[in-house]
Amino acid sequence: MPAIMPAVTAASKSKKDDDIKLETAPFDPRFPNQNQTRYCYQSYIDYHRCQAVKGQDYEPCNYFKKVFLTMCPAAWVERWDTQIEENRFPGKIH
Amino acid sequence: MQGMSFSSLKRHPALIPLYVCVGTGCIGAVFYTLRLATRNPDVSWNKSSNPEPWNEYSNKQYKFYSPVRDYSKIESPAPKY
Repeated sequence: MPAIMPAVTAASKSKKDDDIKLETAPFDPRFPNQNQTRYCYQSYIDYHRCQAVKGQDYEPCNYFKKVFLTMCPAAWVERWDTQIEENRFPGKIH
Repeated sequence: MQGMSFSSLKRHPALIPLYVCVGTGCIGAVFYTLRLATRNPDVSWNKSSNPEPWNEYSNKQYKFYSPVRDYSKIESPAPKY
């Protein structure tokens, strides 16, 4: 079941105030099949690489964050975050 | 064995569909295996020179038949940095 990441957009004056625009991670032709594990892992790695190259405040990096928060199981994200903090993350970030 | 040479095959023409079917199957299997080995986005023959082989598919189609979307207009939405 596709995961949903809610994005609240500013409601225009003609709409009700509780309109929430739901969206999810967009289709990526690099990962066209049912198994989206790579999409999850690649987005996670890309987010941290983007931050390493561009700094913590670079806005476009957050695209990757939205994607991996949608696609990755929360337990994985937690495990990888812990590994990064302890400097033993196996993927290539720097 | 009869049927293994051209001259004996002419005497047993019923074997020809067998050759056609088995031949198609073998060619198909070899072709698909080679396609997977060379074109699959997850396969990398040289991990130091091609560590992330799926990136070349950010704007092209791998599937044989994909009626759902037109890949000629697709670009991977990930921002480049």
